[in-house]
Amino acid sequence: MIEDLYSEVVMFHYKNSPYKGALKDSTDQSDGVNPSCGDEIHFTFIIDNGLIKDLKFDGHGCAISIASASIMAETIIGKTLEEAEKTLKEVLKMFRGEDFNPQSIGDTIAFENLKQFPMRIKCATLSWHTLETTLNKKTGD
Amino acid sequence: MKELGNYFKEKKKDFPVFKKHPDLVYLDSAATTQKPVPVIDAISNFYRESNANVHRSVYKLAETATAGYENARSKTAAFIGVAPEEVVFTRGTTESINALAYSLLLFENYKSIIVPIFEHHSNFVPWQQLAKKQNIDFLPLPVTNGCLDLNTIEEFIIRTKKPFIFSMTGITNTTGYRTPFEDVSKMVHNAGGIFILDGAQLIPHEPFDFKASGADFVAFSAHKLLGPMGIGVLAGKRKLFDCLQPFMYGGEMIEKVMETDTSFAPLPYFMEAGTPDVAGAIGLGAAIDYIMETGMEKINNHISLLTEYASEKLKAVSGIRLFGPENRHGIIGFVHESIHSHDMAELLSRFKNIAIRSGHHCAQLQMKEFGIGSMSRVSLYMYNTKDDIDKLIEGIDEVKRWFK
Repeated sequence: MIEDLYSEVVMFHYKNSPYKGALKDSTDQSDGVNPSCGDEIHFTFIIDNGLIKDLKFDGHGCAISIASASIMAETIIGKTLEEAEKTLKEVLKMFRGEDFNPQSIGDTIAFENLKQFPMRIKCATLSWHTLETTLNKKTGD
Repeated sequence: MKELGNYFKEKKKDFPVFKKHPDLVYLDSAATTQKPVPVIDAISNFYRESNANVHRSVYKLAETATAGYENARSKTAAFIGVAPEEVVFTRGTTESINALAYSLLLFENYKSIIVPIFEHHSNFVPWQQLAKKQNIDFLPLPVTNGCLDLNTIEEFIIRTKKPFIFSMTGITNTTGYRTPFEDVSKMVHNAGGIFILDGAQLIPHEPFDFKASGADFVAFSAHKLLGPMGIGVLAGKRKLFDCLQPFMYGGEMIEKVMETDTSFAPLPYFMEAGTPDVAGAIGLGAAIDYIMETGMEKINNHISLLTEYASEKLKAVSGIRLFGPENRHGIIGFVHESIHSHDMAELLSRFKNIAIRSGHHCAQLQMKEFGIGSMSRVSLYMYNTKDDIDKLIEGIDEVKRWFK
């Protein structure tokens, strides 16, 4: 089903993401690049005292990768770094097709059926792998 | 040019994939072509009736296998206008270029290499990486809107260290630009260089004569020419081949092995270490027969007319931008201003079973020159029809509605 890939939630975030742009007073930044498709997404974060206060993204990519960036922002804003890390783990489990706990992953559940489209998994995971890099940097401090 | 739509509609029936998928609109022949029955039968018959290893044994079955393999070599040689021993079978264009790059750069004294940046990675990265290892100058030649400028080439040739290598494609795989390789090969030869032609997209599309091309070596793949995957050709001038050292060693390429040294078999065998893809070569021979019987001029004309038709139709779609020159052949690269190429390809497939390619097409530097990360690509071959193009345009309209 085409809607399993381009669901309403995905199309909403792709067309009208409230998280698109760049934060002027960002504390952290990171870039996600998928050279095999040419996707490039730039993230700006405001992380204060272990809390992800705000997050925006900019760049270009397919509907799946842009929607995934937007939904990720919505999902992790307001979470502590530890909570974000737990969410990240569950999301990656979902993308690998393993058992996962959907409780903390918000609308990212919209990508649950992506496993039917193996060519497109990397589109959706780009943002989450970029978040992983940021979290590793922070917790490595 | 005469329209041959009906002739090719009949020919399409020779391709079983379209019986299995009657609604398939296959627009990805630059990636690989579909295969006609005579090719599939030739491969299957080899394994059913004459399977044995070649050039080793004296029994009858091995003789038949060897004759089949060498017959394929002769057909290939006649097809491009070289002598049979000037045809080396490889795994494909990529292996042909790598084999040549190793043989030339590990054993010969070249000082520099010029390669246009619009090349497929398989005709760019081998030269770039070996040049780095061997400390040879590597000169990536700039292009403008996916096209060459002969004055820039002249300047590059003048200032490059001699002796030098110039390697270039005949038709680019991103925009279908038919390069002026005949002129470039003359310029290269006038300056004492050697000229290598990547024929992967060219050979399937126009009558080719090796001598008229001016190339010293040409590489191409069977699978873009109605033949099977896993077999390709490196052809070249005998006197240049004879200066090469093999870079792959093993069976079939040996003359005499001594304790501390080995001498090698004559051309083409010293370039063909190990058991070759005999069925593949025979499949390539059958593909060449099929193309000759169909008529290369006819195929060329049919695809030229279709390319023009598709270009005009695509240009008329709002939001679509085409890349490269106007005289594109068989390949059209385009983007939509707000729909990513992956979404375009995915939805065309889901909505209408249309197969187009999306991404960087193994030409990241060309994408960079166009200022994009990825593009959609439509590529045509003899079984395509105007109907296919009309369905593509309807499909794009449907995708646009989805993204509205």
